[in-house]
Amino acid sequence: MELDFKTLYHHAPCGYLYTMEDGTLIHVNDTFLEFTGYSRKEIIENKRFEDFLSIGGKIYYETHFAPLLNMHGEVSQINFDFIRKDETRLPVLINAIKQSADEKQHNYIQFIVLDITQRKEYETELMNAKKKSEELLTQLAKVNKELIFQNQEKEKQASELAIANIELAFQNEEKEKRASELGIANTQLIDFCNIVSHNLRAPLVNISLLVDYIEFSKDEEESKEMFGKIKTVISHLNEVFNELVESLQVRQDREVKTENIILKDCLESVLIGFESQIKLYNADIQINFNDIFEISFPQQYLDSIFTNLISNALRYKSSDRNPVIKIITEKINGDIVLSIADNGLGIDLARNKDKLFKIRKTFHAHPDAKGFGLFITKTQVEAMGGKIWAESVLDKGSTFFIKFKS
Amino acid sequence: MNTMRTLSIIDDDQIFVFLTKKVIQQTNLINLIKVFGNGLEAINFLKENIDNPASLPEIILLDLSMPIMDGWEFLEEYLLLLPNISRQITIYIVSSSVSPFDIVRAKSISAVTDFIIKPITKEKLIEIVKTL
Repeated sequence: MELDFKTLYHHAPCGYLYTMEDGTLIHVNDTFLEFTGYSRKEIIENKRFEDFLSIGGKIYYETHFAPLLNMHGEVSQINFDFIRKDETRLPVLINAIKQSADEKQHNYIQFIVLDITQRKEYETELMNAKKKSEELLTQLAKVNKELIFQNQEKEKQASELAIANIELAFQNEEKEKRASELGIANTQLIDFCNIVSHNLRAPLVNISLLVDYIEFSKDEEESKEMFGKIKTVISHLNEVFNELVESLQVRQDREVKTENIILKDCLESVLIGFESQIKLYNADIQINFNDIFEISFPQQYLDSIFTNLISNALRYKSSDRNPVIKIITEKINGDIVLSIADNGLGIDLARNKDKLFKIRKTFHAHPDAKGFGLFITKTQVEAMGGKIWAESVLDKGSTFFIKFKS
Repeated sequence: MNTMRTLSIIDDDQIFVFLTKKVIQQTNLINLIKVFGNGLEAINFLKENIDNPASLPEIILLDLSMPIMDGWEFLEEYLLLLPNISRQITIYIVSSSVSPFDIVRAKSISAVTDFIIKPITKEKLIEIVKTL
């Protein structure tokens, strides 16, 4: 293929200019004419390179482009906006080379003009995208700030809520405490109602019946017998009455003196009272006060508690085995717990749980069973803020636990 | 005239038992009075004679507050036996209790015909025996 340099020159993918040193156009290719919209006639020797530039471009050309070109003989990749004939703009990239002087001492300049419209559009797009992303970043920062603020607010509210919650929990606790106090008072009221009904009213009814009977009796012997019965009832009534008074005194006595008691000393003095029974039954009393050997309690109550629980353990012993009674103190969850365990008859707790500590309730057909020991023991323990409960298995034995108020 | 008329008193109060027995004997309406000192004795008797209607009481006067097994527990056990008992038994609670808790509770038990607050009068006893 024969290369036609003229066609190549005119249809090159860039504009091509050849100017005098002052920029006056001498040659341009067709591509340049296409770029600018001028005809060759309109511009050759009529226009200078500068004439295609905007005002800003002209200034840049004078102050930077021309001096650089003079100094280095070439300038490359300078971006200008060309003003077309129709006054629209064309973004271009310029490379220029200064030709050395010819024989007439004239200097010439060659320019290459690259259309960078697409590149500019792309650049603008990039700029826009960058701007947009910056805007988004700003927005994000703003939103973030807002979120941090909201978060702080929420944390503040949360801590306020936590405080309110603590306050509510406290109020709740108070209410529960009051409810349980009321519950205890109510139970005591029902107990009292039962005591009045069963333990006081019954003997009174009997006395009035017996008196009626005597009134209408014509038989002297019979009347005498009735009188004897009245005496029995009155002494029974007296006994119940004294027991009730004793329990009320324990409940009322808020000033009862507590003292530090050495448990071993207290128990040993109580056991002296049971010496003959212990010998008679060949009972084995095992004591372990190693964990807790001293408590602060009213001496009189502790004497009574030991006396009642030990006498029960001996009284309701099994006829099949010698009594073994274990008396132990332990610290359980920070509370002092005294336990008295026996290997006696045991109590059917499934049946008697509610009645175990009630007055005048007995669970074994024993002549000495009165139903007062456990009642007064519970009264004494609770008066001092403690708790009493029992575990028991029939024919294996019972264990009574007393938790003292810490 | 009915045949053998039997009545049981389940009560640990010896004075009450003594007086009630005397009053019932005076009425001449009952042939046999059986006394049980607590609920357990009575339940054991009912169990032993469950198939023997002649030995079972027609009327039971039941106290509430008793040792070993009280009136409430007796009623619980009695209700379990009831389907197998060969004789119609009418139960009256006779208690010194004036507690509304006891009265309401007694009313809720279908096997209990009435709640009589002690003292029980001669007239009331006669009425009970006659309404059978």
